[in-house]
Amino acid sequence: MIKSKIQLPRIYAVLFTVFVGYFALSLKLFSVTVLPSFFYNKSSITQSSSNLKRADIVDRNGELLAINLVTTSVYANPNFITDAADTARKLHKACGVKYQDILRKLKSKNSFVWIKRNVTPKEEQLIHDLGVPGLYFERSERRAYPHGPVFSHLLGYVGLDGNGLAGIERYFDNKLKRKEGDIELSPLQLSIDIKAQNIIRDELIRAVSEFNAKGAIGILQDVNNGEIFALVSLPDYDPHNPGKASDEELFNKATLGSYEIGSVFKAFTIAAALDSDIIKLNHVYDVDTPLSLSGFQIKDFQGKGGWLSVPQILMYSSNIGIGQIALEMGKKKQIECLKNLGLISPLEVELYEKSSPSYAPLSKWNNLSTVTVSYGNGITVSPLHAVNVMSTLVNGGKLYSPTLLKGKAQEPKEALKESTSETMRKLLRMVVRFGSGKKANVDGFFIAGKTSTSNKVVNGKYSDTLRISSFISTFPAYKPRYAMLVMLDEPKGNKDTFGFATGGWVATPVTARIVEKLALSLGILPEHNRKEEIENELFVDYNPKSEIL
Amino acid sequence: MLSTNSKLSIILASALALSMFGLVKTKVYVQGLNSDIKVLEVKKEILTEEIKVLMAEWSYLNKMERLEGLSEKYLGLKKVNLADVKIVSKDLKLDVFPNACVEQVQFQQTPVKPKVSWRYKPRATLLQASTTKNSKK
Repeated sequence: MIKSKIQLPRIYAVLFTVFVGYFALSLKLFSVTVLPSFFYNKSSITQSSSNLKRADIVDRNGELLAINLVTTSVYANPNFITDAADTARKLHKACGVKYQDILRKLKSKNSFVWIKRNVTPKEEQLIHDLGVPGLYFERSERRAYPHGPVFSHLLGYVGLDGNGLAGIERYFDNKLKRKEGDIELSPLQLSIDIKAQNIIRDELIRAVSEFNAKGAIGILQDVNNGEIFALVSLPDYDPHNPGKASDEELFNKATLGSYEIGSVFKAFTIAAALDSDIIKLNHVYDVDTPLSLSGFQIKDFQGKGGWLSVPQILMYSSNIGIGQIALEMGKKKQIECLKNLGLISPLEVELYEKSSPSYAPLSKWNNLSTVTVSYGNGITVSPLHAVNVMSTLVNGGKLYSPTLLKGKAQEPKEALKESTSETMRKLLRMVVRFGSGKKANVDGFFIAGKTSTSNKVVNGKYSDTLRISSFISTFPAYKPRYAMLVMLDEPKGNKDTFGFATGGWVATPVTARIVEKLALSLGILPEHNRKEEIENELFVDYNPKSEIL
Repeated sequence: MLSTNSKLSIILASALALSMFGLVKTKVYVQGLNSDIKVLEVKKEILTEEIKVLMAEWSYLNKMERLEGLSEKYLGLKKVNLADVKIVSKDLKLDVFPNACVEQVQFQQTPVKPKVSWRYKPRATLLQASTTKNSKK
């Protein structure tokens, strides 16, 4: 009994010790195995992108347009350099910086001097292998644009601190930057197509050289959703060195430029007048004599004279004819139609570099304003405005906002009737088949469009020699997919154009070459077998009888 | 002979010692894994950066003008002549070019277009109507 009295407490003591021990073990095991998994989530394992500070930008097919790359820069602390001359000599050999420049820096009393920024990996290795104390490397990031100047006006550029300063880089600066807690940076996908951009740019460069032009603009837009496939403004610049570019090169003519575009507005005026039932295709106007308004005479350039039908007014680009149509419409209706087509309000596009249309104050809008605006003078718009309205004219009358992002098209507004749009497709095809746009015709693609030539204003007066010549088109006319603008700034005629530099002579051949090169890759096939049937479907009777009522 | 209690004590003590040994091993193993993860993450970052450089280089090397020059120089390829483009199968045509294919478009069946009756608009009437419209505003 004494034995059990002594043994029981001992047993309890041992048991208690064992339980405490196991309890402690269990806690420790739990803390080492189970607990870490609560704080160690899967996403930290799959942390994919590095710590690069800015997202990539890609085109509609995923092709890279802009990317951040890690670079290394070399700096030194002169206080730790034992032999400045020897070090300078070695560094000159390794990275090519001038010996005198390095020596001057190493002999300075600063504790930090840059030797060379953004060295190549080979240079980095050579400098590392020198084993000179006092030389250090700093890793940083640099924005790279593999395609150089091709997308310069679209993408823009970044500053030394990596902040966007122009173009898409600026507009989407917040979205492109890595923020606290971001694990992945998704690339920004644009609606732009690399092929289209390159082809249009190459042809515009050729045209600028051929016609000794000051610059050029090219825009390609999908008419069915407003996505921009290409946007070129020449001259352009190297986005890696925007500081070396001139103001002219940095200026985005396509969205920020504002021009009196000219006769393209005739198509807009006729569309508006048809849509409002003010005119019909069988209406005929006298264009024999100029219109006299407020002391000014409105004339035709190489006019046909006589009586012209509505289709002929567009085909032969008659200012006198379109002026009469505009007068019939009246100021109020004209302004309402311009508003519906988005021609008197700023465009919503993902760039800060964009202009607003400018025109005479509405209180001063008289008959002369009505007539001049009807053929594209007295109102300035950006080229992107013009393309966007062209898309509306041919896509069933839907006004989309132009967009530079893929798959982000907004709901369109109804600007015109479907029947008006169908008529306009036919009229614009007539311009290319029989009118001023003949040189744009490419067999099988049924290009439709309107030529445009507008004299530039110099010192408050219209110049006789300086002009903007353009051709705005859509294809294929039987079911339009794309609208395109080709514009040349101050082209000069040559031997091939017999000295002429109007839209019909200089811009139309460029359009034809672009369509020939680009159409197949855009998914448009030349239709040769059913050519007669299609042309018949698109034909509009345009020739009025000779007798006058 | 050992008593039952002693045996129990020995067993329990042994079990405790084994558990401690197992725990230490587990701890060391987990710590090793954590170190491996950190090393892998650093390697991953390095590789990701290298991939970025390769992507940029690939994009640069695929510039259109460069490819055009190379294909002309080494392959003798010339630009496609549109007149030579033919689709042999209607189904293939619809698959490859669905949106711009004329087969998808319904034309109105008007083989004979009606004769147009032209309406002439005398200029004086137009200008008079326009002046009236503007003076009402």
